[in-house]
Amino acid sequence: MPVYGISPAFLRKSEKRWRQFVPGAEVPVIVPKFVLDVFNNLAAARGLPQLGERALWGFPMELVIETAARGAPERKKYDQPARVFGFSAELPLTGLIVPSDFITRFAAAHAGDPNAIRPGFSYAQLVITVKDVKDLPDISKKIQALGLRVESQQDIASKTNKALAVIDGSSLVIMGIFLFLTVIAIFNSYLTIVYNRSYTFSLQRVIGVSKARIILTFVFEAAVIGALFGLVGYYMGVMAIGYLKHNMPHWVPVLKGLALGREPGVLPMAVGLSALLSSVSAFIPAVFASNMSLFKAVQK
Amino acid sequence: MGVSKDQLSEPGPVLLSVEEVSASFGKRTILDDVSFTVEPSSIVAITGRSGAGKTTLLGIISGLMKPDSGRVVYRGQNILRWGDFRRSRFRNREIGFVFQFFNLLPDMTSYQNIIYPAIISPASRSLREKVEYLVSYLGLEKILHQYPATLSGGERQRVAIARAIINSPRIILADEPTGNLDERSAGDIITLFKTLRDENGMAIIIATHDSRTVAGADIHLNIDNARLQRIEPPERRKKPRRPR
Repeated sequence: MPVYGISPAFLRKSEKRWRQFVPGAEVPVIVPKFVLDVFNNLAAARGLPQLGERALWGFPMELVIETAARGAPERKKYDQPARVFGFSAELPLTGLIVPSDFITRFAAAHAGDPNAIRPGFSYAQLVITVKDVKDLPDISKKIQALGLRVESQQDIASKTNKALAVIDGSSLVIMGIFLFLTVIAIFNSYLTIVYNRSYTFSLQRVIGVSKARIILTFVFEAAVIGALFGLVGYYMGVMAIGYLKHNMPHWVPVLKGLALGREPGVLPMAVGLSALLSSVSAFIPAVFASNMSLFKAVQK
Repeated sequence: MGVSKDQLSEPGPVLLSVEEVSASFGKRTILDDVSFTVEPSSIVAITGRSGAGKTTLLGIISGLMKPDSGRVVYRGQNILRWGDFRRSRFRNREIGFVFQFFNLLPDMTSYQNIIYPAIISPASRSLREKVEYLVSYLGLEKILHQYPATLSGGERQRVAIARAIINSPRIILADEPTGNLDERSAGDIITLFKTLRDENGMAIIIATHDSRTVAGADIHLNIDNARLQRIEPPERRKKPRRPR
């Protein structure tokens, strides 16, 4: 996990111990809420307990920092005692935040970088909070004019959402194609059933079963079959995802459909949709069944 | 021998009348301006070569097929004007079908086959009594719980007749009912039809090639070149005098 050094002046409402870091003492750490959310999502996916801010507050840890001179293959490890003293919702960083003083002094002491100790050392990332989102384009233009690259939280969220939307959309299209092929397959199966049972349907017509009743009966039977297979399919899907989660602990479902799992309403929706698809596929074969060549069929 | 429409109609109460019915398959005319009437308590035999239109005529009478033109009037109403639901109910309650190949459902026992039309009709009451009466009437006690595959031809046809009359219809339409039976079984079926005519007042319309069935009928109609002709029974025909 990366460690970001940030000047205490950039963080509001931070803990006194964080703001008044004394070199050589325990390193105060701020955990971005984004990191906490990512951790909790992974924990949920693996069935581990989730961590709250209260539980982490004051949590002792050791920062293991590796250093190496430029071009040198050897690396040295340094253990640095640290403790969590805050959380930040303002910084969408993917690692832990420590005082920039600690980083610069550590670099000067262990990595042999004389520039590190110099005041005003260049920052890798500048975080700016904008009060009114409408001002964002103007502010971005001004910062870009200084030769800096601008990436807002909105941009990151929008890019992520777009990527997820593309994945979801593609999977939806693929599922749609499979659904269409399934409907055709079911339609063919029912058509075969109708021709196999043509004798029965013809006889039913002869002894007084109306066309509407034959259609309704056939469609109803198809709906029941569809519902049953929907139920079986749902539990098979849940079992398959459960098996994969168990055997692939690093896998986190990204597709919405896979994450639906055991949410309330999914089972009735799966059963209902399956029954509906089966009924729709059975309708035209049912109409064929009701229009069987009556006397010709019973003369066979 | 062609006859006029008036000659084909019998005096007395009319149960069913077929009026100026014409039917064709593509360019081929099957029935051309066919008319006749059927009374209660009568047996009508319809003969004709294979493909002459006998089965088509039965299909039209039952409302299963629609002719190109004409009317089928049952107790004063043209059944061809009814919707499918009403015609289906008419077939279920007023008509019984008997076929050459019996057409029993193979995965049902004799009992289940017999009660099948009664289950469809919500008006059927006292089903148990009806079945018991029919079973005794047709002598089906020993084969009631057997499947059709284990029955002889005559037994199958008796089960089919029981199924045809379970809803106490006024008309029985029989398509070659003795065509697949030995002589003795065929004789039994003809006797049974006569009993149903005499005791239950049913009208029985039989499409047949069998001369014995024709001999037992009250009216003999023949389809030839799509036209319907009435054939007088031999005993009604005037015997030609021998020249002395």
